[in-house]
Amino acid sequence: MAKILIVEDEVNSAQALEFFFSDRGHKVRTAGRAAEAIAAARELAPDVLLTDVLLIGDRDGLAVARELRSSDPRLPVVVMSGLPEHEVRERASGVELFRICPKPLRLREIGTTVEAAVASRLGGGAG
Amino acid sequence: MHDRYVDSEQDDPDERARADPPEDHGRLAELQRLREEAERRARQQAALARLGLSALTEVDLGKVFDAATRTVVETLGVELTKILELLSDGRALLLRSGVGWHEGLVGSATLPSDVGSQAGYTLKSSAPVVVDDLPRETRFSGPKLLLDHGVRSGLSVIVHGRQGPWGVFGVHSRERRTFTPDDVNFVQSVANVIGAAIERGRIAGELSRREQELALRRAEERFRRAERLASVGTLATGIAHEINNPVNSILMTAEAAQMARGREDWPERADRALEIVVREAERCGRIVRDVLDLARPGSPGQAREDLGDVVRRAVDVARNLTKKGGLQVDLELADDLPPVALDAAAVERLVVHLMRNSIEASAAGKARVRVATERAGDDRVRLTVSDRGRGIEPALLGRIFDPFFSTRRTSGGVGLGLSLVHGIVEEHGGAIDVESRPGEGSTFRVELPLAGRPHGAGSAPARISGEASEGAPAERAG
Repeated sequence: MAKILIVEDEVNSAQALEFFFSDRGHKVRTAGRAAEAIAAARELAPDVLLTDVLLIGDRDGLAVARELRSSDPRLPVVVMSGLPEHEVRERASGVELFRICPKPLRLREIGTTVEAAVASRLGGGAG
Repeated sequence: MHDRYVDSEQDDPDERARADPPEDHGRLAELQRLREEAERRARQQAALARLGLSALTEVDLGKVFDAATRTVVETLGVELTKILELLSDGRALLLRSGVGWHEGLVGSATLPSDVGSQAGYTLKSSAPVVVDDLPRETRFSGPKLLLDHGVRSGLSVIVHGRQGPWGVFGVHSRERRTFTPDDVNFVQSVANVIGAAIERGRIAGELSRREQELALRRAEERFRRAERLASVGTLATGIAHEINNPVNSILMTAEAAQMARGREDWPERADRALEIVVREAERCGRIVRDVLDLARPGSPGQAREDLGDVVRRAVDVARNLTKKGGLQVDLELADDLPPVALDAAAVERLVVHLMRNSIEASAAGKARVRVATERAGDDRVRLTVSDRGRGIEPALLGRIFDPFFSTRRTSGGVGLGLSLVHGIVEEHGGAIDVESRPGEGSTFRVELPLAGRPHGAGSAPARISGEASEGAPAERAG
């Protein structure tokens, strides 16, 4: 079981991801906005961040990643986005990403990726 | 002495040879003269050929002038030459180039172009003007310039331009001399080379100007193409992104439902998934319709319409967007409006989009929208759509007309509505103005010219105004 924080402002997409990861036995929290995501992370202390890039509001998913990394430098970040990969990397500006998954997503693939991200963190020996 | 002369004539064989026979002596002199004339002509031809070549290849007109004056000085042995340009007012001739003149005159001295001077007389003559003795000349009084330089003899010809004379070419000598017809031909030929060089320079200048214009036009065209491609790129990215989101939801929702098959809550999960799939597919359809609307060419100014009728039709459409009783419309239509030249279907869409924007900015089922029309000056009408919805965050006001800018993704806003509105206003040569306060509502004012879009009207000015408000939700509202 891993603790997964999902940041996605599309309610239906977020819900599908939540069902999927919950069904696989993980503990899941979802958030639609940056501020909400940062608050949720404080409670959950996630093992992995799965985030969209473009969010409603003035901060994007990569800003969330940057902030969570400042208190948890080994937190793996999986990005899901319809943006071109180079644009995502540009916006990430230095935040190391475990993987960028292009939308539309297939649940099985995103499941494998997120679980690999969790394993990479545990394999690295950090909390 | 006479005898001696005769004697000596008979006795001295050398003397005899020199004098005899008188006819042979004349023939020799004539041959000599012909030979010298032929040599002179050959020198002139060669000099002319060299000058012609330089005039063909030299870009700098000043250098061609210098070469022409040098050629004449060397070939004819004259002391003074001048190239005079007839100035645009036709009343004076400017000393453009020449040799033998006092310092400071070349480039600045002018002569009157009337028939009182040799140059002026030349302009009016169809043939070259030859002067044997200037102080005794009767056709004109030698101009001060020539007399000051002690000129006695001279020869001047017209330098022909594209339309009429360009100026005068003259050669002068301080000693009295007689210019032969060959000299005249030579000087006229040099003048013709000068004229050809001037014309060639003019054409080259014209060509280079046209080339520059063409290059500028090409650069502008490239820029516009790049801009178009950039906006096509923006639009394509926007459409892809907007469609991608509901497609992503449909895909994951359906996949999650498939995976839940066999579980005890499967029927409910499947039902819920189907609902979501239908709603998200509808959203895709809406995006496609809006994109098609955006691409629809407008044809404003085709018909004079009653703006009130157009607004009433739009209100009916907007009412159908909400549940019965969920929308209150305050309609304030001016009854003194003249017919307006407009594309009725487009303006109806404009009103519907503004109303939809207002409805979506308001609390569900409690939308109250005011729609008003009024006269705005002599030649315009104003259409106002206002609400008491969430209002627009000041930081976002400047972006609300951008395609795909939306803060309402989750509630079904696609982000094209206000772009469509802006496009329709632009098509009509009108203007749109927004005023918004977060928490209090927004007012959109559209002004349209009564006469429709004026010819060549550009992009619609959009004015935005709002009030800064800390911590207000970043929602687009209408």
